[in-house]
Amino acid sequence: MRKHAFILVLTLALLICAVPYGSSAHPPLTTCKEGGEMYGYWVDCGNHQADGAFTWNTSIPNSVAAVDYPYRAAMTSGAARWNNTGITSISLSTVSSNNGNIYTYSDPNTSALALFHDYGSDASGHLTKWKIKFNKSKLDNKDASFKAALAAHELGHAIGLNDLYLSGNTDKLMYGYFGETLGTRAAAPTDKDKLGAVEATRH
Amino acid sequence: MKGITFNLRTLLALTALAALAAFSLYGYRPANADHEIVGSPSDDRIKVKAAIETLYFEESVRQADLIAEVTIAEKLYEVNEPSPKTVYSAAMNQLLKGKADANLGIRIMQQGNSRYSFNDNPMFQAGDTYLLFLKKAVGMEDDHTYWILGEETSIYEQWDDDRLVKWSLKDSRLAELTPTETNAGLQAAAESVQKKHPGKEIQVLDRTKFKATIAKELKRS
Repeated sequence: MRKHAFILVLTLALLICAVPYGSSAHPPLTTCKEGGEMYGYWVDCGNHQADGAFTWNTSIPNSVAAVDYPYRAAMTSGAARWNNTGITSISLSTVSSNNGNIYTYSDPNTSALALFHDYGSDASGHLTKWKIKFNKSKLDNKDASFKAALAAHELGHAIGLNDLYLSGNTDKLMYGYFGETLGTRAAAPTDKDKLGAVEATRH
Repeated sequence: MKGITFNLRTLLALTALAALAAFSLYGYRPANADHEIVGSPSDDRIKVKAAIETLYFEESVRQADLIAEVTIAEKLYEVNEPSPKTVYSAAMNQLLKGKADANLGIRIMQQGNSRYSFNDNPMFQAGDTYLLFLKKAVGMEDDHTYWILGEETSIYEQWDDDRLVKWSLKDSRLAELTPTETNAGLQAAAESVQKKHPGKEIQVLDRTKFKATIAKELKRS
C-alpha cells in the first residue's frame, strides 16, 4: 500500500513537471511561432492581437485645424497600409478606451520618436490594452510620409510584432531605428512583415 | 482490500497515461521548431518599445554638444513623464568636444528606469565608464544635464583599457576600428557582452583609434 502511495506521488510529480514548461499561453496546436531576426519578423507571442480586426481611438479632433491632426491622419494612413495587405482590418473607433489609445507628448530631451507602451494582454497573449505616443518635439517638423510610415510601424507593434535591429533587416517596416529621413527603409509592410502579421494574428 | 488495490492500480494507470499525454502535448518540442528565445527573461519591468532616431557617426559628432568619456557616479532620480528616464551624476574623464566644468561633473539622462525598461537596454551602473555623444537638456533647473544622442545606438561602453562596445547598430563607417585579434577568451567575453544586449547588433571598437577618429572628424568639420 505504501509502495503504491509512493508511486502515486511520484507519478503526480511527473505530471506537474511535464506540463507546460516553456509553453506559451496558446493551445498546443496553435503554438505561437516567434520567428526572430533571422526570419525577418519577430512576433511578441505574449502580446499580440487575437485576429486581424481591431480598433484604435484618440482624443485628437477630426479637424484639419486641430494642432495634432497630422498624427490622427498619420494613424489613418498607417492603418490603411496594413489593411491593404488583406491581413488586418484596423479601424478607428469613436469609443474611448485604453485599448488602442493614440496621443501625443512633447519631450525634446530624447531621440525617441514614438513609444508603444502601457500594453497588457490576457492569459492567451491577446492584447487588452496598448498606447501609442508620438513625440511632437521630434516629429512636428517631419513630413506626412514620415509620420505615416512611423504610424504603420507602431501599428505593427499593436498587431504583435517586435522591433528588428540587425543590419539585415533595415529594409523592413519593423526595423526599430529611423534616420533623419525615411531613406531606404520600408514605409509599408514588406513580405516579411506580412508573414509576421499573419503569424501574430492567427491564434 | 482487493477492491481498493484494484482501484488504486486503475488510478495509477490513468495518472500515468495523463502524464504521458500532457508531456507529449506540451513538453515535447521538435528540434526544428520555429521557437527562438530572445530577450531577457529575468527583467520583469514594463517594456517600452521605442522608435529611435539615429544619426551617422559624422552627424553625431556634428550635432553633439558634448562628447565625453565619463564614469557613472550614482543614480540621482527617476521620472516617468513625459517618458521614463533615470538621471545619473557622472565624473568626466576626458572631454573630446564641448565645454563643461570637469570639477562640477555632469548629469546624464538615460531612457528607462526601475519601472520601465526601454528597448530592453540595461541601465547604467555606478562605476561604469562610457564614451557618450550628448545633447544639453532643455527645461532643466540646472545647466549641466545632458541626454544621449541616439540612445543605445550612441552608447560606447568601456570594455577594457583597449576596447569599447557600441551597444547597438553596427556602423559600417567604423568597421576599420574593430580590433582584428581573435582568441577564445575574447570570443567568450564578446558573447557575454552580447547577452546584455539581446537582439541588438553590438560593435567592438579599438578605444584609442575611436577617439582619434572623433578628433579627426572634429578637425574636418
